[in-house]
Amino acid sequence: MHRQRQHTVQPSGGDPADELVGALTRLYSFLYGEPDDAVRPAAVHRTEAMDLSDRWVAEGCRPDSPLLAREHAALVRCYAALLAAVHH
Amino acid sequence: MSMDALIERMEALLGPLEEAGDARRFFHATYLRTTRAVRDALRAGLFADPEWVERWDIAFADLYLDALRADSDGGVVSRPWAIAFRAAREQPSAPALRHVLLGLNAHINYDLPQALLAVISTREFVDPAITGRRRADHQRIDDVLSGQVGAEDEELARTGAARSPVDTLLGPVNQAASRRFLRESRIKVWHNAVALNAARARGPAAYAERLGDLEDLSAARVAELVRPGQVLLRLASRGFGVRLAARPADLSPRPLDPNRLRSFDPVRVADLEFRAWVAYYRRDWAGVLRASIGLVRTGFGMDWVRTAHGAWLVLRANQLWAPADNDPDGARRCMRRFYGLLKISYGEPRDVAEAARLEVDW
Repeated sequence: MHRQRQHTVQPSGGDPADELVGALTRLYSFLYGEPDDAVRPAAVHRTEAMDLSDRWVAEGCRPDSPLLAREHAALVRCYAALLAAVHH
Repeated sequence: MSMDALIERMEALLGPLEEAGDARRFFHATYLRTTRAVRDALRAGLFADPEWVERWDIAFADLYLDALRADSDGGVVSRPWAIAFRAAREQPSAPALRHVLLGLNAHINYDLPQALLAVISTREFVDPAITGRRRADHQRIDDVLSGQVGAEDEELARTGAARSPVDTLLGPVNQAASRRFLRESRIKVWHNAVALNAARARGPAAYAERLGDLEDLSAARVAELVRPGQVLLRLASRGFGVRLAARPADLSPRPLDPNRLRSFDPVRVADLEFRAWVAYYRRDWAGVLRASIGLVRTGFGMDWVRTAHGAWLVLRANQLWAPADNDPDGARRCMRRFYGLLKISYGEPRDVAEAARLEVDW
C-alpha cells in the first residue's frame, strides 16, 4: 500500500492516504485487539511520517533536511497515540 | 503517615538518644536531616511522581524505625542492623562518621530493596514505562542526598563528635567518594530489587530465601566495616553496596507478561523506527539491523536471543521488500517467523500468518 502510494501518481479511486491509514489501522487493531477507532490516530500519524519520509527521499535524502525532524515528531506522536490506545 | 508526621516521629526519637549519649544518634540525626531534605525536594516539585516518592520514603524509613524500636525493646533485629547497633553500644567513642556509615550500609543495602518492593508491584516491575519513572525518581533521590553530603560533613564536625585526624584530612575525598558510592549503590539496589521481585513472583518461600541471601550479604558488609580503620577507604577498595548473585531460577525461561506488549517507551520506539527508516532508504543494512535490534528489544521486550533473531528477520524482510522487483512472499515468510517468536514469548498474536499478511499489506 505504501509502495503504491509512493509510485502511483493518479490513484484509481479513493485517497491512497485513507487506504494506507486503513491498512495500518487493521494491523494495529489485530495485533493489540483494540477497536479500529482507538488505534486509527496512531495510523494517521504514522502515515504522516511516511509521507514526510517519502518527501525526504524525493528531495535526495539530505541529512540536514528539516523534513527529518518533522518525520521524527510524527513518529513520536504515532507511538504516543498507540500507547494511549493499547495501555491498560 | 505523611512526611511531616514521619519527621515529627524522628524528631521525638532524637531527643532521648542525644540525652543518653547514645551513638545511634549520629545516624538518626543524619537521617532526620536527609528526610527533611527529601520533604523539601518534594515540595519543590523535583520528582516525576511525588505521591509515590512520599510512600516510598515512608516505607523505607519505617524499616529503620522498626529496627530501632526493636533494638531498644530487646526485640528481634535484622542482622545488618544488629551489627550496626551493637557497634553503637560497644564503640560509642568511635568516629561519628563510622556510625553514620554503618547505619547507611544496613539501611541502603538491606532495607532499600525491600522498600522498593513495598511500593512497586510485581506487575509494575515488568512495565518499562512505570519502572522508567521509578528509576528516574530513585536517581533524583540520589541528587538530593549528594547535595547533603558536604553539609553532613560540616554538621558532624560542628557537633564535636569524635573525628580522627585522618578523617579530617580525608574530608574532601570522603565527600567525593560518598557521591560515587551513592551512584554505585543505586545500581546495586535496583539489581537486588529486581532479583527480590523475581523471587516474590515465585512465591513466599522463594522470596524469604532470597531476602535471607540479602541479609547475609548486607550483614557481612556491615561487619567488615566495624573493624578498625578508615571506613570510606575500605568502601572505596571493595565498592559500596552488595549484589545478589544470579540464581538459575532467575534465569530460567518463564512466560512473559502479555501486558508488556502494551507498554513501551513511545519516544524511544519512535526514535529507533526513525533511524531504521533513514538507514533503509540509504540502503545501510548494518544501520537497519542496529536500529531493528533496539526496536525489537524496546518494543517487545523479548530476551536477547529472540531479540537478535527477530531483528535479523525484520532486516531480511526489509531486504526482500526493498528492490523494485521485490519478493513480498519472502517478506511475509520472514514476518511470519518474527510474529512466531512473539507468540512463543507472549502467546500473541493469535494468528501469526494473518499478522504477517497485515504487516506486509501496508
